[in-house]
Amino acid sequence: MPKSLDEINERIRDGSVYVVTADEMPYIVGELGAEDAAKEVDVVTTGTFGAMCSSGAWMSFGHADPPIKMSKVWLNDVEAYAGVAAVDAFIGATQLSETRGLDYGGAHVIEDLVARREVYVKAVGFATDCYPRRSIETALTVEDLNEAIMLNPRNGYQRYNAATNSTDKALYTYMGTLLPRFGNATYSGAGVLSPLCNDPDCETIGVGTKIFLCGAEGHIVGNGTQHDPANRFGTLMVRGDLKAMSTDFLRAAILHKYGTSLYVGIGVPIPVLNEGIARKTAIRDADILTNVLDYGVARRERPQLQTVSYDELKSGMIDLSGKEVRTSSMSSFFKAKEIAVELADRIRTGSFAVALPTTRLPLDAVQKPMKQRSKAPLVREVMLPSITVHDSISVQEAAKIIIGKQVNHLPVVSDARKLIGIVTAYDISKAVALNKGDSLKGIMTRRVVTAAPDEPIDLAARRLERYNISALPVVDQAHAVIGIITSEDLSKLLACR
Amino acid sequence: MKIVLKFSQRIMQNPLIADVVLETGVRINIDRAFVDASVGEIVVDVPDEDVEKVAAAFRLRGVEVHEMVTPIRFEEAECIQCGACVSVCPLEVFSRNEDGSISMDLKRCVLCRTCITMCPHGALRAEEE
Repeated sequence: MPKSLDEINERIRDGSVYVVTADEMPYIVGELGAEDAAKEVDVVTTGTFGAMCSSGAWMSFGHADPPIKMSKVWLNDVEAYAGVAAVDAFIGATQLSETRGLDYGGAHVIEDLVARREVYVKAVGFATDCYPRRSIETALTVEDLNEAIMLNPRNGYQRYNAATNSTDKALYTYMGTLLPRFGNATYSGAGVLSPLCNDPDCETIGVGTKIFLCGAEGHIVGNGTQHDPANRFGTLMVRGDLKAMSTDFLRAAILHKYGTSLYVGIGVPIPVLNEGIARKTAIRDADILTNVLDYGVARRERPQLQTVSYDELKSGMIDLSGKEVRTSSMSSFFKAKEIAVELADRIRTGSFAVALPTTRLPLDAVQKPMKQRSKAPLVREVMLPSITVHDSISVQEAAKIIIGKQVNHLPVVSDARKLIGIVTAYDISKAVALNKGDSLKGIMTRRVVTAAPDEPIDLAARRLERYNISALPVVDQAHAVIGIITSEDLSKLLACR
Repeated sequence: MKIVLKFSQRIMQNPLIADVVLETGVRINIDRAFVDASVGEIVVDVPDEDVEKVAAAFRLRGVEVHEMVTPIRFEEAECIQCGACVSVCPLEVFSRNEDGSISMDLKRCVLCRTCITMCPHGALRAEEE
């Protein structure tokens, strides 16, 4: 028997409503079956608490006297977008401070506002007949703002790819520190408590759904950007009053060598209107699968190494083709549960009524890659032929080649023409100065950082920077040297652009 | 127990650890080592019952020895219980409980600092800073 929303709200009003958190549903449906569970349970609450970069807030400052049309505005030296005249601006969570680098950003300004801390405001504009003022500086708290409205373009990812690193250097990403040689894997998402995992067909989650947002009552505005429900990567755009939020459910995040993000707490109630909804909310961590991606490959399509479930990820260890890899969650399941429980309490005590969406979210949205007018140049298009030497030659012979051919780097190859080392002009001078070694074998660097012919030059440039070196031999799949790319040549290329 | 060994450039050339191991016969595990041109600092793990003997042998060779005290300061109010720290710690100081909250056993810490930079909300700091 289907239940109506009015019946559920009537039970919320008279205090007889039966509310459970989404992690309890697998047991309830397992015991009673979906049909009886739908009769028993009125509302299932979900929750998620993760670093959601695509977050921010609209602020309306009120007019100064004489008035100003702000064209640029900064809060604690973090720029907010002010192109909407005259005293409104949007501060984004990942916008960084112009004075404090990666350690302070828009997310911190938002946390400072929610914590009722004073924020320093600076704005400039050009004078007009109606707005004569050119600049203003002041300090204010969230209470001094006329409106402070959180509006997050992309929150509540249904699930997210897990991240690991195949390279021999640590990577610092928005998924946290990824240790070398598959040293760890990180993931994000609340799994069994994730709002969209419990309503994958967006039957009750849609435009106008009332939600818990960082402690306040908020609403779903529509689908989030990059919404891709067909691939189980649905997202939400959400809105709520910043003045009613609490730092218990909102925190600024610093991701080392990446920048700032905002921990946002979202809870979505799902009214159990029928058996189908009850069955969907019985989803378990073991049913929610995601891919482990290799962030060591800095391309749009990162290699998918394996499919794992949230159950495996939460166990603390995943098996990656025979290697045990430890896992870390970047989102907080503990806080997600706290949110689902808090929302359930508010519904039970009658302070939070449930609403159905006025419009359904699209289920057929498709995400295309960016249209690019030109392709990034590849290493093979800019590499130069490389002079290579055999490891049997002497230091003096190598010195002659370096001077004669006017090069700084000599890749060293084996009989089979495979790369086995590299010597630089500096290595040769050092060997001569210290009167050390006749053969190249003793002075060459054996672990050579290389480039592949089919990778974009941006990746080669980033590798030169990370390893603090000035040239990369380009090798084919058989590890034979087919060219060389140097920082000098790259700089010339970029200068011509 | 973990002890911190500090030594100056003057005695850096000596095979200090090898000598102490040979003399005392105690199996010492090096947890972390930092040595540059002017100073050396090594954290070693020594069986509790042998700490005095080992410390005395190091001191005899001019090494400054002290006990490693909780090197990481944890600010509970700043922790959001995400668990980002869990997988990056080489000594498995952090672990996840059934309810998703995080436990820590700071006695195992050797101050590699990886968790400090990994923590997204600044809940972990080095005691000396």
